[in-house]
Amino acid sequence: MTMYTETETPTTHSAAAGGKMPAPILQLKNVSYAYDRGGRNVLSDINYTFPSGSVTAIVGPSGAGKTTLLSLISGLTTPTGGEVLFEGRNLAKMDRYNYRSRDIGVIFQSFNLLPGLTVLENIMLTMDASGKRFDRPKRDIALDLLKQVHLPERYANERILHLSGGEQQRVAIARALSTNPQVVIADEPTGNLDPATQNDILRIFLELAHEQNKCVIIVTHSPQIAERSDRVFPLSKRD
Amino acid sequence: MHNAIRNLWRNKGRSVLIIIVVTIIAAASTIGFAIVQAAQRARASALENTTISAQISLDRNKIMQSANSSGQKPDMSSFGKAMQEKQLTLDDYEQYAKSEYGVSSSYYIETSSAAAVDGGIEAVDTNNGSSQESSDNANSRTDTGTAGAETEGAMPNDMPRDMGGQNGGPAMTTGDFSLVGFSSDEALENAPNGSFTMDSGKAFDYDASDGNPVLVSKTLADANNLKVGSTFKLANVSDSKKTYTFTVAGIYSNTQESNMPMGGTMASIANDAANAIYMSAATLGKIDLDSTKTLSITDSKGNTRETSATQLSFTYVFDGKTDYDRFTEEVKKAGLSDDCTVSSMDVEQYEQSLVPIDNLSKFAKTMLIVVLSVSAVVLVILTIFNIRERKYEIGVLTAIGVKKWKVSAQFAVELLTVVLIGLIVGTGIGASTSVPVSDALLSSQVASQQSQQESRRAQFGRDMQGAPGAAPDGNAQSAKPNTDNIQGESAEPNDGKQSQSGMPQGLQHASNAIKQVNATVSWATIGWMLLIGLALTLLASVTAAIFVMRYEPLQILADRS
Repeated sequence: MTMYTETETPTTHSAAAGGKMPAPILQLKNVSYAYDRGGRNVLSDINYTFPSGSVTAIVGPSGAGKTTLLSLISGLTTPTGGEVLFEGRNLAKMDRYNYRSRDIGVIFQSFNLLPGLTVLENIMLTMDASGKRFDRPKRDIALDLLKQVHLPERYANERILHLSGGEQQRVAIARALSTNPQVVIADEPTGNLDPATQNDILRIFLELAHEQNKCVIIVTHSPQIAERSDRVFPLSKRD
Repeated sequence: MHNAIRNLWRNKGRSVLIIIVVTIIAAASTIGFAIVQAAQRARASALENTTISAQISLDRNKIMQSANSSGQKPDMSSFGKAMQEKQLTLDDYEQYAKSEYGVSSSYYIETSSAAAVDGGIEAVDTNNGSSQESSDNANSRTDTGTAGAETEGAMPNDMPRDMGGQNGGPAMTTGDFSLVGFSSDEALENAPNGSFTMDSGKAFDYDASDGNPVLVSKTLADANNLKVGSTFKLANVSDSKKTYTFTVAGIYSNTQESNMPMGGTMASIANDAANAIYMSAATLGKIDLDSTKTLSITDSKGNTRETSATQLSFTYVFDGKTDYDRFTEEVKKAGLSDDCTVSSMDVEQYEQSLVPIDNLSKFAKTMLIVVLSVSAVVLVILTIFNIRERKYEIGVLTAIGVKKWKVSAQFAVELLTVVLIGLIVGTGIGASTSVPVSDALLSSQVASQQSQQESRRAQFGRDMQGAPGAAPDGNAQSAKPNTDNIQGESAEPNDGKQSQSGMPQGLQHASNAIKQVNATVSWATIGWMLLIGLALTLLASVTAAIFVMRYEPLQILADRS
């Protein structure tokens, strides 16, 4: 059983006048999860706070529940015990579709891009889904994002299928960033990539956290990634 | 929702498939609807503005039954008496000829007969006298021309043959000549022997003029060297001392000449069309042979009976079916006896001609149901496959936060688009092919009906009594077998009134209806098509939605990794 309690307060946002601390952007409180009711707990009583402005790596062996934890914090499902709090609010009581489309950006393990669409269309898909209004044309924002993930502009109208693994990964990141979310979650983002690409991608994440003050969470089994992250949250298999 | 459009465009193969399916549905449905509607319209409207002629006749079966109420076989004389008693008079008929009953006009024809006088004109006998003739003259009859003789007292035909034809009165088949009185030009247009043209002279007026102007047939005129202005004498059939003098006002030729006299070889020569002398009803009345008078007739056995001097055929004319229907109701309300029925050859013929269209309509309805059901099933199945194929896409969309109903809506829009395209194309195809297709189908139906009638004709030598192909006018005086040759029947009454002649009438109705099947793809049809399209889309969309709702993004994405 994993019990890990961390009560660090978020650092970079200055406290509001009056001395009250703003709620942490993402927090786990006694979170448990079991697939079947009354079945074995995959996760039990997790407590953790994810701060803004840093990259947190969730590490652990296969079967420890990393993907499950990811599903919980990305709002794909709700815990069977405890609460996942986003900005102090219980995720289970929020509209998780809105949460997924506006408040966070998720890069799934299989990239989860739509193969029939172009790069630009994939990026803009998320923008459309959020229903947000943007102060600039979506196309321009998307092109900027391409730059941010170090992809040349000419890729804009390429079909996803024509891109390499690394390039698709970058597109996925760009898509996740398109609504400028506070939280960026990545599931094994450097899985099958060569070291140079891995490096580049990690650098992008670090930039997001340090320069844009986002809360970046990376699920990984790569020790190198964990090493270069700001924080590490280890999950171990339940005995 | 241009996501939807983009998706369709990117997946042309799948989209085209659905479009094809919908197109087929739409085309078949359009044609089906067109046919059904045309049939309905044909039934409802074709008789609307057509002149309909109808008669009131005695229901023989009813009278027979009431005469038979004691349960024993009725004898002919009491039956005959009953018929005679219940026979409607001219006044009775005219009582109902009112416009508040819907009647547009009416006319009547009275038929009586007269005998030749010694030294006077002779009747034409185109038929070798049969051995049944009881008169001595039978043997002296040879071919066309000069056979006729006095038939004082001796009736060649003593059977009360045809106890009433359409009008229930005793038939006049005695004498050498038939005298036919017409109440108006309209009646003359519907002469019992068919339409005719004037060879010389002109038709009479309808008041009782001096000299008793009549029209004689060309055959009779030629046989007796009669010209316009000639006079001739005829005698009363029951009293040879009573003679009448007529003046030839005109000579006519029947449009349809037939060698077979009415009644076949058994008939008396008076039934030969050549021996029909036309006059006004007033003239007939003047010589005391109208429907109010009676004659004593002695048959070959020596039995005498009183019969009506003439046979009356009264026809009501209507502007359309609505009026006819109204008339039928009103006369019953006005007290028409239950022994009488209103009937119309036109309506019966029309109903007959509708048979192929009705069959076609039934067939079309069945086809429509089958096509729609099958295609609804196919569409749903296609949709299910479509959704399953795009499970991943649904997963991604819901994972990035697109609400499930929006995803369903996207599918719905895609479906609606293909359905609309298919609908437009299909309806277009249906509209342009509905005419040839339905014509072909209708022709085959009509052809099968026609071949039925032709085999009947071959078998009986004539058409069915009372079937389409009966007497050229509605006034069957006696049940005349129709000897008209179907090909030869081209007679049109002078004013171009709706032809009531012969077999082609049935076909003519059908072909009129075919022309109406043309006019079809109406707004109503298009409206129905849209409705069907929407219904199908709804069905498929709901199916899609069910599937979308069931999918959990977590499951989908987990399946992928």
